[in-house]
Amino acid sequence: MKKLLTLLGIIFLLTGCIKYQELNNMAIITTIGIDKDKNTYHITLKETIPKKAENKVSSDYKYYQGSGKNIEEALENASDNSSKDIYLKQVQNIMVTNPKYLKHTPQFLKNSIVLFRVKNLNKVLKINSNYKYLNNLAKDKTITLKDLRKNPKKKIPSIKVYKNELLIKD
Amino acid sequence: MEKFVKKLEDKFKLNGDYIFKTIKIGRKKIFFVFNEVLTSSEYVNDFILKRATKLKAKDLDNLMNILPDANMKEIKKEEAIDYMHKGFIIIFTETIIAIEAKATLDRGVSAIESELSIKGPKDAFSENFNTNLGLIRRRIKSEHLIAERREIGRSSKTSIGILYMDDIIDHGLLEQVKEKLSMIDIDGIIDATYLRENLEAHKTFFPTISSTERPDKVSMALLEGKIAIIVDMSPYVLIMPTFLIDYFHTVDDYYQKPINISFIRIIRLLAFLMAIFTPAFYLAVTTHNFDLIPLDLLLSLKAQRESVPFPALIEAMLMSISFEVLRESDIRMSSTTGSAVSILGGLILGDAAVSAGIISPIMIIVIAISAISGLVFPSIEVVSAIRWWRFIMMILATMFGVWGILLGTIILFIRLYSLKSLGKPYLYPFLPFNKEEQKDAIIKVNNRGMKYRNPLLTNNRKRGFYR
Repeated sequence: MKKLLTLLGIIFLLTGCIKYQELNNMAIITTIGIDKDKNTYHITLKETIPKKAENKVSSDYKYYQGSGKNIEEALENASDNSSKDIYLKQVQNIMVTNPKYLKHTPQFLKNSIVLFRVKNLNKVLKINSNYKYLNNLAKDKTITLKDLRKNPKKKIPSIKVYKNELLIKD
Repeated sequence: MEKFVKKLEDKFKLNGDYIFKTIKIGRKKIFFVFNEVLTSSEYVNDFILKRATKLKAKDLDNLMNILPDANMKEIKKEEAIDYMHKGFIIIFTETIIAIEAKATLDRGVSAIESELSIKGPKDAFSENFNTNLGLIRRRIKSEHLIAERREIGRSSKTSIGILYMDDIIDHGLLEQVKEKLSMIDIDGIIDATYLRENLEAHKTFFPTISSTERPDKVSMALLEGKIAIIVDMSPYVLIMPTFLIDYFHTVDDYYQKPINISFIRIIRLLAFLMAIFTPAFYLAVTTHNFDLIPLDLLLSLKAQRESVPFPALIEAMLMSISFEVLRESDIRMSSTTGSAVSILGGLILGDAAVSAGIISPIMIIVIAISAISGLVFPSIEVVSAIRWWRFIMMILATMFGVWGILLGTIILFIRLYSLKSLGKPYLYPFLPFNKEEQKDAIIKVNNRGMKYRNPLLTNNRKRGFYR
């Protein structure tokens, strides 16, 4: 029994299973914006900061930007701009200025992420809209990362800002 | 004889409760020695001393017939002190006679306090050995019910009774218990729990010998081929061997419809799992495995924890320890002040702690679910075992997330699998698996369907049949 416990303990300690993170020290990213300028990728991460207000939870948003030769490097640089640990596993939307850039999205991004095409990335991202609103925006025209990985020619719905609100372009 | 009585008087002169009385009959003297606390003063005065004053010299040789009592015997000098301590009055003439005159020092048969049931009998064991034995004998009126008496404890000389059905019991098991009891050599057995420590083979959180205050539960166990031990001055009777599944059963299960009981037993099993794993799972998903919960819930948890200054494990430990303090004070307090403690602790302090941002509301919910689930079990030993495993799981979950919970579950399973109660596997009838015994494990069938006794406990397996 003691040998077994020691063995299990060693396995756990040596395989890097300890990845303790406090929820308060995490920046939960719900939207990623991807843009490219010549050979440089520009990434904007939108953090949702939940606020407890009486009987409901409202949200504030914070943005982290980073650039790099590829998306991974840009993501890393954007993450470095945050004092918190960046958490990307629950990303819900990706906004991209050109669908071509999505060919290089990292594998860890979930297949169910909803995609949008935008012209003015910074303007669209800064509109106060939560991920649920964005997900419902395209309704039956919604394209996910999984759809795009299956069929790269699929048309991604475009969104624009009109009178401080987001709209799907026809 | 006078010299011996004088010696006794000198020995006990510092104690005010030893009475030495001399009555002169003709030229002869009779000495009465007894302890006034342990004997009934009414009985001693009305039935012994009153009669003794009317005795004549010729009667002294025939005292055994003149002072008749159900429990009266001629004893030796060296037995006199022992008998006196058992509540006998000792009469010294040419011979020494001990007459039982025990005072009633128990509270009689009272109602059950800790193992409540909706249906079924309500009488509970008391501190009186004979009362406890009587409560069982009234339920099992069979010559096969054997109650072997022994004395354990160098100073306490506590009477214990080993109860079993000699036509059902596995005699190997019985010998094992007797051997273990004969090896006990301590100065005092104050309660049945003293014996349990000596009879349990393993150092474990989970109890491998159960104790109960219910005579009906003991009677059921005896008819199953188990052994019960009554300890004088203890309102709890030990039952052995005990399997883990026994703690998921209550006597109520046999007084109600099987379909309802099966549902309740599933609920108890869920409560057992929730009591151990709920805080650990919460810690795992809030410190490691964030992707296991939907984003909405994750954001809600984060919003609740935003003002809490402690790491999640410290917060959970603080909350758990506060609950244990509350529970402990509630048990020790009288019922009148106990409710005030509950209100102050549960409602006011809980609400204030959340408002002050020390504890998050979700943590109160998690710990409350876990603690309430643990209290489903009437056995305090099981509640304590659950508490220890809850803490172990919480630490493992904080270190390794769900993998830690998995590791803890493996350790818990190995531990339970290696446990034995009097040499019988603790996880029976699941490991080793017995199909017949599943009829009264989690799912319970009708009593008609349970025709056979547990094969691990007896070779006389047929219970009898309903016609």
